[in-house]
Amino acid sequence: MRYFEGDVLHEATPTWVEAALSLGYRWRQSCNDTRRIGLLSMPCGSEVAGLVALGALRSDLERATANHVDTHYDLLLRRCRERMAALRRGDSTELPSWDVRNVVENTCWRFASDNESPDEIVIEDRTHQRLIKRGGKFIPNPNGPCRRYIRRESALGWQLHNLPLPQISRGGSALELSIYSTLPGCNGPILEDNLYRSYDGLVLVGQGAARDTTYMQKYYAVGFASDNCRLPLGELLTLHSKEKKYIQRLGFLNEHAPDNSGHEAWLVVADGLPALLTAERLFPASDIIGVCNRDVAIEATDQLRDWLNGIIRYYTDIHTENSLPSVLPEGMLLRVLQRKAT
Amino acid sequence: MMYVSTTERMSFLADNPPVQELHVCDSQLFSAIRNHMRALFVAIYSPEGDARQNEPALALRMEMMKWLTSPLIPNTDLLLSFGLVNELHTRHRWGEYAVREVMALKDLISRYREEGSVLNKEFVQVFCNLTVEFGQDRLKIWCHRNERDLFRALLDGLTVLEDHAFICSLAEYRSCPPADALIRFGPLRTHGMAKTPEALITSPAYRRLVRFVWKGLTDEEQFAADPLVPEHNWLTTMRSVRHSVTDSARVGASPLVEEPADDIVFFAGTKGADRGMHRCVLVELPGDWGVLLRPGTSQLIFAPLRNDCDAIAYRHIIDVEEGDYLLIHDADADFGEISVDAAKAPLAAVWKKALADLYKRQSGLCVQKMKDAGISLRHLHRAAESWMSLNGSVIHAPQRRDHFQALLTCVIDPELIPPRSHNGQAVPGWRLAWAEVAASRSTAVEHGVMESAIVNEQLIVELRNELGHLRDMVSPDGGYHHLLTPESGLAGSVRFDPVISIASGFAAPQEELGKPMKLLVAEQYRYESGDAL
Repeated sequence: MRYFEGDVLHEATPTWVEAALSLGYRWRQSCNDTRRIGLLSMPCGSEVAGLVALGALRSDLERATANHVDTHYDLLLRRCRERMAALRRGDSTELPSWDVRNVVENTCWRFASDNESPDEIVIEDRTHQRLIKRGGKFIPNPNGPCRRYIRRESALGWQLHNLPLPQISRGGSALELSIYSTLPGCNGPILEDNLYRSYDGLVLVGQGAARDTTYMQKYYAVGFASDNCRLPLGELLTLHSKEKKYIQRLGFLNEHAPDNSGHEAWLVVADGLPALLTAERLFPASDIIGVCNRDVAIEATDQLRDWLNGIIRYYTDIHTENSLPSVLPEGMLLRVLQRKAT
Repeated sequence: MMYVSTTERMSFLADNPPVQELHVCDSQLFSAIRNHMRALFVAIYSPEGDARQNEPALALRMEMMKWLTSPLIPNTDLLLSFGLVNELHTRHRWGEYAVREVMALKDLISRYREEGSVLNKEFVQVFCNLTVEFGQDRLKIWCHRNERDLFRALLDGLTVLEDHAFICSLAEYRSCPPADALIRFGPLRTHGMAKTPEALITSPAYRRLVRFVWKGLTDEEQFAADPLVPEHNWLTTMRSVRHSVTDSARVGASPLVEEPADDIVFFAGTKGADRGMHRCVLVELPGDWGVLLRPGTSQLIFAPLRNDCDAIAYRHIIDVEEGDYLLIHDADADFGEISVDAAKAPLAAVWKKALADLYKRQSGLCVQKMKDAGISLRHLHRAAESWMSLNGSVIHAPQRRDHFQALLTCVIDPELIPPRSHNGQAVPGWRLAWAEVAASRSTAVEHGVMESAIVNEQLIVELRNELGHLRDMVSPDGGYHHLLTPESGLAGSVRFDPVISIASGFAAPQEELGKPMKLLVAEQYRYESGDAL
């Protein structure tokens, strides 16, 4: 497995790439139940945040619970209740025209009721019109909608609007085992089932969102190559795998996101100061690894110091030599803070 | 912009631990000038005066900073331009002491110009040596954009310095491939007038940092502490070699010629009292102009280095960088005027007619009644005429509720608008009329906010359509004035002002924010971190 940057293919993986991967990969190994914030000081703008996230994503592939198999139904139920609550408030303008897609039939449906049993979710055909036009007037549709029920055991056959597939069938476009299993410094065994299943317990916060932004392009200009293929970092991170046939193993949030829609994560990797502030605001209980460049504007550095001075009283510095990379390449510094017991 | 991969940067750092070469220069003559400049400043500066009254002193201070932190050779032009060399004028305005200081300075400066600057001589010598050692293409000079010609003049006849020999902003520093030597004048400070980006030290993109500093101007103690790991200071851990250089010129035994003091600290302590100040940043624009902006505000910015999709956008000032363009526009769109509909303001039609009748019959009496009722405005005739009219987008009426009450209860007939019962309580007529006025005002505000949002959105769309043309037209050396086409649905123009630098550490009154001003006036609003606001 060789690392590439643009047209340059490195015979040996650069030490900074190994260090970043290792930090993400080993973060959970040094985990206890207390919240931690890792702060990685970098001399310049880089792809380090993406590589840290890739290391963490790789470690998630080894965990039996890092997927939504057991929780997908609960997520569907929560979304159904949110939609119904919005409708009751009369706040339906921002709601999508459909809520769930049947993965096999490729048909779209919307949530219809949350008053019935919590063991099943009622959905109705999205094409059904509540009002129809008769003689130039709108009247209630005398025909009721076609309804179906989602139960816990069938939940994985339903994809939520704007979210990736919960899992794909064998033979589908799964993640490539050979690529992920040979990432430098990541040697644990991958659970093959995870290569077919989505997971959003790991989040990357950064700029942009669309693939053609300046920010995102940096993640598609670098990556890993084997003898027969080149996989950009953006693809390895499944940053834009929202299409029908792919799974996603990482949630991405723009640093200007106003909220995280109840999204929970065990680890948030923040790329830059604004992303770090957003991560701290939206995920107050999650672990965070913040990557900050020292060549940013003077005002940004001042703001970073102010933020650190504001939170430091609640945290204590911890030594992580046993679990995280102890020797970092020249120019990189790591500090890990752990929340003080209250 | 040249692409430098992360591995290139990291490998360069690993293979070339940076070294600092510090040239500390001492000159008795220059020290004497520094001392007399301080004395003259004290003589003509009034701490209670405003920026306009203190303009000569502020200009003196600014000039002194340039002498201390750049290759600029002192001259007497400034003394001339503010009339300081006119003995009569100076004696009359600032006293005999100021006259003596001006005379001493004139003499010292002319001698110094003959002798030449030891700091500049040292720079020329070192630059030639570095050129031999590394080649001129591998040298960079970090300076203010306006100082480039000073360096060119120093090396006139020896070599020609193209624009790419200079780094004038953090954005340029980031985009340049690592150099063999980076040259810098002045001490390293995070605040005040010698403010330098700490990235110069914390993010080295050079083998050797070659610095030229006047004696007495030390680096700030905590400069270049890592922002995340403050115990690690990148400046103190950098290997450093120091050279001391002294010139031979002697001034003679004078009490003023002693160990040079830290003038930058001295001048930083001389500024006006803080009166209702707001923290702000100074955005420096070409032509020695700048604008003070609140740090949290969003500005319309053109960032030429970004992709088309996000090159023009509203950004927080923290996200704006040197090399970006600040867009100042007067764009407007004709959305049609909203006007007061008499049918929807029946009470206004009644009281305005009564007021108009009274004013037309006996304007003097009307105004007297207004005065007696406590409507304490300076131009009561003009106010009455305005309140009588029923046109425009709002119901014209007194701004204050107590004035409105007085107008309807003491000036015109208080029974004119009968009270109405509401929830069993009688609401007086003047309050019903006031509710009508308030509603018209909120509609107008809402309309204005919406118009502004539509214009801003349309302006971004229009400018993005013109992006190719704009990229060709803008130039970092001056602004560009873009006229909006009628097809865009907008009228007006947009000025593109290149951002030369952004400096935090300013505090100014509300009325000075967002207003273009001369840099030397803006300098008045610089504050130190310890100042209370």
